[in-house]
Amino acid sequence: MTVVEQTTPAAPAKQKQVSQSYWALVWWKFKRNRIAVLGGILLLSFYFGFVFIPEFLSPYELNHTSDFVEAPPTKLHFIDTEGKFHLQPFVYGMERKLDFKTRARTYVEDTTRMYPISLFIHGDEYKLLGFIPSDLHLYGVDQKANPEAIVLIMGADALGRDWFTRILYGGRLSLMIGLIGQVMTIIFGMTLGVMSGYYGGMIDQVIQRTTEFLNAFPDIPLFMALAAAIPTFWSPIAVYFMLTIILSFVRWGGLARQVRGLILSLREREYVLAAKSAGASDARIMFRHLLPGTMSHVIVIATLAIPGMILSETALSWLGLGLRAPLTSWGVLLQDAATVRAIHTTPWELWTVPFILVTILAYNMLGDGLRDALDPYGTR
Amino acid sequence: MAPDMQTQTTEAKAKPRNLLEVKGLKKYFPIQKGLLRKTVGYVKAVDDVNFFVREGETLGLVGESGCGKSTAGRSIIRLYEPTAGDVLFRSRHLGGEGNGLINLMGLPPDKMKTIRKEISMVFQDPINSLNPRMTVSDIVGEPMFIHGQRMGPETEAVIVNLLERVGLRPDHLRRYPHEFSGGQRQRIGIARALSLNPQLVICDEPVSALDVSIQAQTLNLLQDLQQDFNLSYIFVAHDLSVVQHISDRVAVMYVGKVAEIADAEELYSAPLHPYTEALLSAVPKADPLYKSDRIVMQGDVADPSNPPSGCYFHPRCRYAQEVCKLKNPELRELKPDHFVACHRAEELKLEGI
Ligand SMILES: Nc1ncnc2c1ncn2[C@@H]1O[C@H](COP(=O)(O)OP(=O)(O)OP(=O)(O)O)[C@@H](O)[C@H]1O
Ligand code: SF4
Ligand SMILES: [Mg+2]
Repeated sequence: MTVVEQTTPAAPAKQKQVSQSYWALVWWKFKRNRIAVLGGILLLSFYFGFVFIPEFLSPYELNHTSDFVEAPPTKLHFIDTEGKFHLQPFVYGMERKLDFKTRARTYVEDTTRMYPISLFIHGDEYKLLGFIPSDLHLYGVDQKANPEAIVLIMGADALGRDWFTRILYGGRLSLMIGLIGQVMTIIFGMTLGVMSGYYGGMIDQVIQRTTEFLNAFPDIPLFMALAAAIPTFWSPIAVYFMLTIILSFVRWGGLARQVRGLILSLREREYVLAAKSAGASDARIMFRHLLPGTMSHVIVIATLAIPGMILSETALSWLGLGLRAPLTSWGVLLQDAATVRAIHTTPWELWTVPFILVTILAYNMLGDGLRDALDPYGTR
Repeated sequence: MAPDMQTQTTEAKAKPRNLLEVKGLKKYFPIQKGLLRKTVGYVKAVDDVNFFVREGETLGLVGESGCGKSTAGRSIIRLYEPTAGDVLFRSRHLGGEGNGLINLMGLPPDKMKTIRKEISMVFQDPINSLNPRMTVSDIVGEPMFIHGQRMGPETEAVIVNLLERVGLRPDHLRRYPHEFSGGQRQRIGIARALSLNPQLVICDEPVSALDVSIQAQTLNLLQDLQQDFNLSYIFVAHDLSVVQHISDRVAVMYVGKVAEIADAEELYSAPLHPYTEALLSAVPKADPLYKSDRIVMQGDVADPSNPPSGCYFHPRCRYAQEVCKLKNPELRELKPDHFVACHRAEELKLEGI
């Protein structure tokens, strides 16, 4: 008995057969979601700008103090007092006045002094990425020619530091804590979740009860308790890492639960039995066969959880329990801005808030788009 | 007591040696209820199953859905840890006891891993049995990788060779399972099962999910491969027509127990168990003019967690008598090499095809 073997329909010669991997399909779907792409681009530029090159983007070095204590944002001008238009924007010199009655500082523009703002100007020295020495700044006034000139697009703080510079540098720690913390959460959550779902029994019980225990605590008091346990004599950088660990430690439970649930259904698939029947180890089954099947879920959950991470850092630092000066993070900056006096005298310090909001919004835009594109509730 | 299958009671006709012997195999799944997950009963999916497979032969394992065929197949290679029983296997790599057979039960993991090279499995579901996130090359090469072969040009050549052998093209190597039809996916699964050069392949309903036309192709392929690779098969199916042409011997299962085992020809022409007769009546006849009454069985397969008393088949059996409700029939060798578990096997004149 012979049956003609025809297993593959003859492919049309012209039509090139491209193998579409799962991720290629996801990318194709994601690309068509404008809002998600916008969120992604925003985040990519935020991370690139704030984490890698804040030194270049800012006109000054982080600790560049000046006499312009609590100065309001400098105005950019194109038209001078004589009504002449300048293609290159400029700022006027600033004169400080002390109002003796209210003891308030005020600044007035000295229209006799004009300082043009240039792009790619040489200024404070820094090391890009920690090792490339440079003194190039995206914009600024020529400090060598006019040492008394200053440009503060978002005003200055109590030490006369450029607030915009501080926001840029602060973004580095805040954004990184979200990302590093989330990566750690993923590692904790996925490993424990897959073990919980795959082994079941005692291991499952222990992991599940632990996550329930952690979830039962309200976040902030738990953070406070843990953060208060960080010794005060630790270096700020050690505090930073400790805080990251604490944030991810408290949050892995939710992810572990989700992963466990997925594993429970995935482990019944026949390909798991197939791998077992070929002699695959538990580790191979868990990490090669089961975990990849949860990736789409995990990416979506993680993306949507990073804002919470960033906000927790901000909240903790704002409460004085997280990062502390001399570290600069958005939470630390908010703490500076959080007194009634500060809101009254230096309202520009609230410029931090829009940065935080845009970051969180961008993450949600991206996360929603990823959810649609990855379709984790779909059939695959 | 289970009959001793090891002693071959047949006449002096030289039969091939036994490759696999399954003795008293049981697999009970606990039923757990309540918060404390207390075990309130057992699903006796496989309950005291005995059979053997000779070298180079195909044993058909047939029964309706839910009879425990898959569970039996999976318990043999310890994908499910059996509740009780012995599985003896003639390994090429591991020496056995006196008779050359090694007991797989209680074998330490490293030795069991060696056995996994020699017994492989083809699964029923062509969609679920291939990892959707792995390429064909990864899927077919995985068993080799697990057993220490590095991925390289040589391994790839082996994979290409296997693919060609099962009727797929080398350019399928980098594709993903979802790009293939059901029949092609089953071929991928077959290539994978052959990758470690096994002696025994357990085919768990490899064609049930395929179109009828593709079924024949796939069966032909399996038969060709059996010749070329010198394989033995345990071939699971839920009706007797599928295994008719490829089985040397057939075992019929009902609710976790073996009802009848015999040479295929004999089982089809002269069945001794009423359940076999009922299954046979559903097999399409070669002669369209020949009309036999299809035996319609009443009700469904008994629930293996709460089986009927006596003979599990009695509520559906048209020959059932009082004794059938009281006593569970044992599997006994009524004729040489023909085992049956029925109280009335001697007296009944059953119709085959
Ligand atoms: N993991 C499990 N846990 C509990 N019960 C199970 C499990 N696997 C199978 N069973 C039960 O054991 C019995 C036999 O199942 P099995 O899958 O072996 O049957 P089958 O003969 O292969 O049927 P099918 O033709 O549908 O594949 C069924 O009643 C099933 O519900
Ligand atoms: S033992 Fe009785 S009920 Fe069971 S198959 Fe034989 S005749 Fe039918
Ligand atoms: Mg089955």
